[in-house]
Amino acid sequence: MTQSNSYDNTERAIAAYFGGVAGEAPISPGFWPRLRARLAVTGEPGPTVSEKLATLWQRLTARPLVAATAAGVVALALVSAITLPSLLDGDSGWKLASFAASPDEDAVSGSAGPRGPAGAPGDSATTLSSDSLSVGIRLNDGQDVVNVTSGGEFALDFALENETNERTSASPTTTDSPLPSPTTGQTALETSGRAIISTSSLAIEVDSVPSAIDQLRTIANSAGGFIETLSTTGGADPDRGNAIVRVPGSNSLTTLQRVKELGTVIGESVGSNDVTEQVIDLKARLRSEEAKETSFLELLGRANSVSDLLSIERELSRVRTEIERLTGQLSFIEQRVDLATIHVNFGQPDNLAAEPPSASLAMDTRDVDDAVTQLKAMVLQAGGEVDSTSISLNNGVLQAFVAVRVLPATFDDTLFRAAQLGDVTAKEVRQPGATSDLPESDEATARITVTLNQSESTRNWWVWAGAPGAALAVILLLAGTYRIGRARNRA
Amino acid sequence: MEDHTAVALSRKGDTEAFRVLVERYGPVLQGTAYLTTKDAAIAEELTQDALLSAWRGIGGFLEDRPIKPWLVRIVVNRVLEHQRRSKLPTMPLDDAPELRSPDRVAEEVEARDAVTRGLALLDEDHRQVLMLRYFAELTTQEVAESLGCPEGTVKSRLHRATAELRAIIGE
Repeated sequence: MTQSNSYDNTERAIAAYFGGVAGEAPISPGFWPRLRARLAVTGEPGPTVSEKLATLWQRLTARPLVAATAAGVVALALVSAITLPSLLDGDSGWKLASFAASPDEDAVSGSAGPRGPAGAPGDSATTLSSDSLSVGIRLNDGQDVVNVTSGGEFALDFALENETNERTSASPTTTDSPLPSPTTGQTALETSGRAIISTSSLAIEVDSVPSAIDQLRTIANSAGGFIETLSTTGGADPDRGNAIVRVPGSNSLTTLQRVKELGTVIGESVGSNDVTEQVIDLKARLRSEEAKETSFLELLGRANSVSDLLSIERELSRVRTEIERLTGQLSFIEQRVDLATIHVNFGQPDNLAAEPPSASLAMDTRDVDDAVTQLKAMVLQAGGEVDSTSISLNNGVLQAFVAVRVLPATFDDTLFRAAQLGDVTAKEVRQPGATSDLPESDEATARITVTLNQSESTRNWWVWAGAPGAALAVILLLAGTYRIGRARNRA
Repeated sequence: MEDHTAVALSRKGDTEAFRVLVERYGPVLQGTAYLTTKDAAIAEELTQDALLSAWRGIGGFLEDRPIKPWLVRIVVNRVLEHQRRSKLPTMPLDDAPELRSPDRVAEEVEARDAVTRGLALLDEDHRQVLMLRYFAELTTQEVAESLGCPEGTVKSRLHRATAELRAIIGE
């Protein structure tokens, strides 16, 4: 009763009360003899943990067949626990099947025109004719099918608010929107509520750059868009001009077509970038920061001391800065999604010819470091040069950025091989006509920039690590339940 | 004989060593059972059952841990199981004064009456926590283990219960 020394009066009174009441039922003299008799019937105490393990081992070794079967079942459980997540993850062969079943999944880029022999399994799901707009598909081998535009109009129906069902079902705004116009055979991208930034580039040879720029302005205005930036070289009588035109997504293909009529098209590319996940992520972060702001404001009303007040205000200002930053990013992306971007490069005949091809690629890969090493080796082997490499770790996701230059003659080949290093998520190629028409060049002038992101399945390494643990837990649970049940039955 | 020696010997089937433990903790265990059931015969039966379970399971008990909370826990489980089975409502502690012998009543009559009244006002959960803490003299952590609830819950119940009792006694 050492503890009772530190009790206060109340606690002592409680202890005394309980002690007094319990004293009414003291241990009877027959208590121990009766218990000893029962112990004698029960026998020795149960085995210790180490003894139980030893017994289990003995039993297992005595029945090798049972032990082997049990080991097989455990191994099977472990193997399926490890492999199932990766199969469900949609790696390699499984992705195509899921795509064929739901054509709007993974529709990442839009392009129009005759589909080349690269037409992939699964594109029948999009049922598009050769002279109309087609949906670019991310293929299993990591290649995007991006074909040349030839007339048509594509409407980007992007429902930002439709976040939750963006993968499983198309939003009402997408399915109900008046997409195709039958007279021109136009159709639209089935974006299923995805946010897609579309970017096109054109290189056009014109007789007069200033007049072409005037016409470009008229085209942009009539399509409800504008010229975002404009630059010319060559003084008062410019021989070269660069413009960035922004038009509503629904008018971008007609605009592209009208711009092409300004002169002779030397090169063109159509690219798109799926930013749905980025938008969802930004919105989620924004909501969370806004919730934080609300709770800090509540706290501010209840702050008692000056130091509390100051620290809450400091947090509040940090949260508000973050909200502004996120809002800014979101509106930038929304603007890019609403308005398609067209880069137009005008030049008089002599000035455009020597433009080397260039490309940018974004890929998901399992092993970023390995992909970077392979890419560098590939480029150096082809006589190219590596301009810069940067690898960063952001939110636990490894990302690499590699800028290389290759000989224009090896551009196509290098691009094709680079695309094998992972799953291509975005691709943009600027090519002035066919590469074979280019003058032979010994200099590595064709630029390729590659962004490599660590793919989801590698990121979720804990699934791999956790699966065997989960299997073991299930086995232990079953064994425990069995033991408890047996003990109950005995009792 | 130290507890851990008695436990070690009991594991090997030494009933005399187990007897040391029974004599040392029997009163607390039976008192705990009696405080809840208010029936001396049932309390003794439940304590016997609990000690028998302890004997059977002592092989799985880790020697270096304190034995008392473990034994109290077994008793508490037995008592709860008994209450569930018999579906008998717990008899409130305010009936207790009638059971007490006159000489005990004479002691600190004032304070005890106040405690009795106070305890009668408390929930069963709160009374149980007070009992394990001040009668069985378990630490809050051990009380939590015995009842299978978080230590924070035990602490808050203890705090509320003693505060209420203090207010009543202080009146």
